[in-house]
Amino acid sequence: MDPERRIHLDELLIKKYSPMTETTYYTLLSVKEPRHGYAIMQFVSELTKKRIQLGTGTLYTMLGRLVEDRLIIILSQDNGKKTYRITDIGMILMNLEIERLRYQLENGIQIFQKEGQDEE
Amino acid sequence: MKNNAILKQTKFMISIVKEKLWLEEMALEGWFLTEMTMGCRYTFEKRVPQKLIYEVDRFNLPKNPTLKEIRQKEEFLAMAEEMGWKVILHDEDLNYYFAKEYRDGEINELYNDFESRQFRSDKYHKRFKEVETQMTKLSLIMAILGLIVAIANIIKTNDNLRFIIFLFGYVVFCLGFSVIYGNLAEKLSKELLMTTREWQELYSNQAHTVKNVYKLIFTNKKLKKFLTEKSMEGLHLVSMSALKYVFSEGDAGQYDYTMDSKHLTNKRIKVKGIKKIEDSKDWTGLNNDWQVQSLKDAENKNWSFVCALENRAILYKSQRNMQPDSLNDERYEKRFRFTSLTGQLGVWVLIGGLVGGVIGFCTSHFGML
Repeated sequence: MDPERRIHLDELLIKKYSPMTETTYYTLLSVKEPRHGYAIMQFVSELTKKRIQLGTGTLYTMLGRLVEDRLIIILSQDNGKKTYRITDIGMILMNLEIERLRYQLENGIQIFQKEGQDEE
Repeated sequence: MKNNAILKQTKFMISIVKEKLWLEEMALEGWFLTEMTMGCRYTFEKRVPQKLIYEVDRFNLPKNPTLKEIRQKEEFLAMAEEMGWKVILHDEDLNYYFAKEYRDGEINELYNDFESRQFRSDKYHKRFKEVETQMTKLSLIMAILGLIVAIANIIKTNDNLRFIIFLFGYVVFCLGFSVIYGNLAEKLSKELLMTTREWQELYSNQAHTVKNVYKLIFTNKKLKKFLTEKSMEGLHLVSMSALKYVFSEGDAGQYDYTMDSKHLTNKRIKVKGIKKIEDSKDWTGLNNDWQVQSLKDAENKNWSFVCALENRAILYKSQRNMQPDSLNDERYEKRFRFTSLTGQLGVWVLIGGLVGGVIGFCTSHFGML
C-alpha cells in the first residue's frame, strides 16, 4: 500500500472511532492481553461491575468489525475459538480516545462543577 | 425420563419476537421446543418448568462462500455455546433457534446494542428481499412465456387456453408471494431493531388501549358529530382511513373536530392576499408546504393536530371549553369528505391508462398491427 493512501485510511478510521462507543472502548481495553470471546465478555463485565455486558451476537458483530478495520488481530484459532489481540493501529486509536476523554472530562469539571461551587 | 409427554401444535407466527415470547411462555409451563417443521409445526417435550430465553438468528449462508464466510457460522456457534446458548434446531429456511437459561443480572439477549441489532435486522431484510426478487423474476418469466403462447395461439389458432390460464395463475401466485415477502422484510427488520422490552411496550400497550371502529361516513359534518360523541365517551381519535377509525382510550371530554385541506388553506391565504401554495413539479402530492401553513393557522386558533389523511387533509381537535375560532367557513362543513386513494399509484394508473388509450386510438384509426 502506498503511504499516502495509508494515511488517508487512518484518518477515516480516526473519524470512525472518535468518539468511540463504550462497548468498543472496553472491548479494546480487554484485548491488550490476548483473550478469546468469552474471556473478553467476562473481563468487561468484571471491570464495569456488570454495568456493560456483551451479548453473544453483539460481541461477535463488534469483533468482526474490529478485525476488518485492523484494530485487533486474530492470534490463534482452534475449533472456532479465536484469540484476539490489539494491533498498533488499535493502540493509536485507543490513546487518542483516552486523550479525548480526558479533555472532555476536564471541560465538564471546569464548567459544571466550578459553577456549582460558586453558587454555594 | 425417556418417555416424556409430547405436544404437537400448529401455529402460524409472522412476528419473530411474538414467536420467541410464546416459546418462552411454553417453557414456563414445562413445554420445551424440540422440533419444528414447515415453519408452523412445533413439537414440545414435557420437562420441569424453567425460565428459558429463546432467540432466532440466521447466517445467510451464500451459494459461493469465501473462506471467511464458511468459518463465520462455526465461530458464532462456538462463542454462543461458551456464553450458555444452545442450538435447539434449525428450520427449512436455516433459521437457527437458540435457547439459554434466564439468569438475573446477565445478558438475556443475543443482541444487546443497536449496532448489532441492526446487523441481525439487515440479515432478515436481505433474506426476505431475496425471496421477493426471486418471485418477481419467476412471475416475469411466466408472464413472457404466457405472452409468447398467446401470440402463437393467435397465429395458429391452437387451443392453448388452459395453458395460458395456468400461466396466469402462476404469475398471480408469484406476484402475491413477492408482495408478501416485500412487506415482511420491512416489518421484521423493523421489529428486530427493538429490544424485547421495547417491543412489548409498543404492542401490548397498544392492544389494551386502542379501539378500532369501522364506519362509513360521507360528509364532514357527520364525521365531526361522530368524533365529538366518541370524545365524550372517552375515546380520542388517533388515526383514520376511509373506513377505519382508531381511537385511544383516555379521559372523557367534549372535543370539537375540524378538517382542513390544501384547497381550504389556499382559500384562507387568498383572503390575506398571499400567493397561492402550488407546486407543479409535485406529481404525487407529497409536498407538505400547505400542511406547514395549515398547522400555523390552526395553532393560532387553538386547534391541535390529530392526524393527517394521505397528505390531502389534516384533522384538528380542540376542547369545547377552549372555544376555538372556526378555522374555515361553516359552509364547507356540509361538503362531501375526501380521503382519496390516489397518490403515487393513482398517477401511474393514469399514465398507464393514457398510454393504453393512445395505443388503442392509433391502432383503431390507422389500422396498424
